[in-house]
Amino acid sequence: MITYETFTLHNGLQFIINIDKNTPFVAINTLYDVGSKDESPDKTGFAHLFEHLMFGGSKHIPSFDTPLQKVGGENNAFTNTDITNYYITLPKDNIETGFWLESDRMLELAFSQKNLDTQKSVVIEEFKQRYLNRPYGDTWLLLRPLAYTTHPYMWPTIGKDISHIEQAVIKDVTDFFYRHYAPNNAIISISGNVSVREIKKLAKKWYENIPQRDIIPRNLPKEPEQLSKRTLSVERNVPVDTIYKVFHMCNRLHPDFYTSDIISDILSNGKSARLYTNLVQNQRLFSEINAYITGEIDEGLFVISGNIMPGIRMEQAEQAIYSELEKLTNGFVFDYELQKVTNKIESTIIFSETNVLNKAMNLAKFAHLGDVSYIQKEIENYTKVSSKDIQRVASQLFKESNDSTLYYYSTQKK
Amino acid sequence: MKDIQRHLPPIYSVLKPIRFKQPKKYVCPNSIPIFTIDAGDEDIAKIDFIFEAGDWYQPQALVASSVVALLQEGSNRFTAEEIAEKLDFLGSYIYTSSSKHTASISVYCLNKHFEETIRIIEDIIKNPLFPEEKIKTYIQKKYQQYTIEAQKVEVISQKKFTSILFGNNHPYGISAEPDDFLQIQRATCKTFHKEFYNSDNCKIIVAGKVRSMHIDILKQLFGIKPWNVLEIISEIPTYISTPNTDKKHYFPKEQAVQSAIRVGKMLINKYNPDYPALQVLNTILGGYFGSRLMSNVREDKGYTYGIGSGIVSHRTAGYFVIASQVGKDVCQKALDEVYFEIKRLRTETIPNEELETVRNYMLATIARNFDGAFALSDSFKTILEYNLTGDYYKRFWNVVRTIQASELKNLANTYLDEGSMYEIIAG
Repeated sequence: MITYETFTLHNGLQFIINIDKNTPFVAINTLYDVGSKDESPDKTGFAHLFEHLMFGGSKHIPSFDTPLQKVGGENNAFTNTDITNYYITLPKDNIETGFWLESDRMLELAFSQKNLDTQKSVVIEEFKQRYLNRPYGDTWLLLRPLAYTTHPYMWPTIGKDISHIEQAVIKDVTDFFYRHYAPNNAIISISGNVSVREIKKLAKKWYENIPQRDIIPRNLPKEPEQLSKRTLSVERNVPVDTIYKVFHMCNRLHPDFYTSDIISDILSNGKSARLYTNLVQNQRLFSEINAYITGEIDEGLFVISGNIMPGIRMEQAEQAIYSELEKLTNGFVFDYELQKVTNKIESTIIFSETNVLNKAMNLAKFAHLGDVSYIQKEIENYTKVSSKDIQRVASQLFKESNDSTLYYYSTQKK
Repeated sequence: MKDIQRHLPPIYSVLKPIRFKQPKKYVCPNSIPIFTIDAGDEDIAKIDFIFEAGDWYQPQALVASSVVALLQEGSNRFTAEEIAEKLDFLGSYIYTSSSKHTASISVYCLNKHFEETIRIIEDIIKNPLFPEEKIKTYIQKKYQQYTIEAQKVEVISQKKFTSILFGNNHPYGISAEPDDFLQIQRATCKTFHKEFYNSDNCKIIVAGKVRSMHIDILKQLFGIKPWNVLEIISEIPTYISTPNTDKKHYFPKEQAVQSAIRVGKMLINKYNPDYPALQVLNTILGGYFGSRLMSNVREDKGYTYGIGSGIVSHRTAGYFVIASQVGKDVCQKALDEVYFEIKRLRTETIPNEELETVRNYMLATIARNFDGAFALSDSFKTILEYNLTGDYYKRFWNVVRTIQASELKNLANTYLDEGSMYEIIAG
């Protein structure tokens, strides 16, 4: 089980440290509590665009990447609906370079017009590459507004539309920075061959004099209960028909979260899982089918997506999914099956703990949920789930009125 | 607290030479070598079974990759469903892959389930049945995946690039089409397995928290008597590459909003003494985030989300390639910058500061490849493919440490003339 220590600076910046003596590298993960759900509906995609800008120089340092690469470091970042997460791995002896760089961009960005202009183009190319120029790339641009009417999860992190990115101006950038980037809105986690004493010293030196900022408490509209099934049909120049079904589920801290995750594993984690065995292998209705949860902090989605075999009608494919879901709502779960998915989860967790970056990211993620000690209860939370829980949660999840379905038709069919 | 100098970078140290920890080698009675890499605290292991059974040896496209993937679809003792069920229950993972020369079965498991897992793996490697029904499902599934992949401009450009470079009959150049899946027959799979999955053609690597228990079990199940060995040894095919004489190729795709670019040429592979130095040159050009291509085409011009270059080494040849996806409207401008950057390697001397950054970056990358049991295992697998020893990494490290800018400029002139490049655009 992963161990850690924590401390918090006077300005509210929280540190979590995991000691791992097996590696000459150290991982530093910096999580900011801001995601695309914090954007205004007419400026979507901004949190992610902003993540790009964080590499374009800070108050005292013209480039983030070059000095880091010079000391053997690597870094990257991601933005999702809930958080923006920056990470570095570098040789342990050069850890201070990481503190120097990350603290300066928390203190203040360079806010350059040239940087903004370039990164707008880069992000627009990213939008094209990942969402427009690839078969099925626009799926989440269609699914989110179908499933959500109110909550800002209704747009994907890349943004609703390229035009929102094109319209970003430098004032948006500065406003966003001071509204969300602050020691009291961040968590730093470190994993490697370090001592708590050493990290405390570095933390004080580089971070303590960064001022707290006024973080306006989040007040997001709650998604109202869905009252009837929603559907959307599109036709695209893609090779095969696909179907996407999403169901509203509980939030990350709700006790049923783990049950929902187990349900998705019973359906599709591994080759022996139900959807693969029954719908791919036995009935040959799909070439591929998956079930997973988005794992978001507010009420997220339970997702089923499948690529349909040629000659199989959309209705037939959907019906087959329904009958698999019905088995769960009827309480058809073996103890053996439950044991299998928890074994698999346990094994995944053990394997993930061999890597300092994984550990650092996970520690920050759990601290962000409210209490880093949740990480130690993970396996227990999964093993507690009973077949009764599964039936109860499945019945809530897979109600027809909770279903939003995207029918994605191919125009290339022979 | 005293004032801190935020303008100035903290003092840093250059990585001390890191030795590649040579695995221990145990040779079984039937001559299968087992290499062990013992590192880490977690009670887990990764086991690789490597067969000389890659694309090079296949009688028709996709046979090598299909055979290794279909091993888990049923064996003498277990049905496909039982194999999947048991491995999932044990929390064990199996990944199969095939490359140009080899095919691998990689297994991840908790040590407490090692024996049970390996007993299943034994049967699927030695006695797979290739059931007709499972082959049919596999083909349908792969056919669809391929059809979807084949619509991506980056996939089109890469496939065209290698086939233009090596010719469509060479294993390095062959680009399978979805329809090739429909030609896969059960008999072909069985014959291929019979010919190439035997104890004379197998190597095993086990990495993690390795104990004598691991070797004992592997030896007992795989290493005592010869298995599946044929009386007659088939001839190893030879192939000659037939590069296309035209350097520039364009493959239009309607409705594409981006074009995928490949610019490159045939180049040396790992056996050539210039290989490490060329990797330094490649890193400067397009091998890391701060590379010249990224700085210019992405970070300065904003033409792309990403651009990179690489040297791909196969056992008998290698190639150099620059790859990117760019807005359709800026494709020519991006290409101009690509050639501008290649030319600059030949005409200008690389500044010290930049070379120092790349040195340190690359040394750390090498160290990362030696960090932990699984990374070591992958690095070892790479040199095993070429029959090289840990000296290869030692020499690589030394070249990265000491290479001079003038030598790099000479290399660029020898190997990377813009005029010698092929250019493939899709989209």
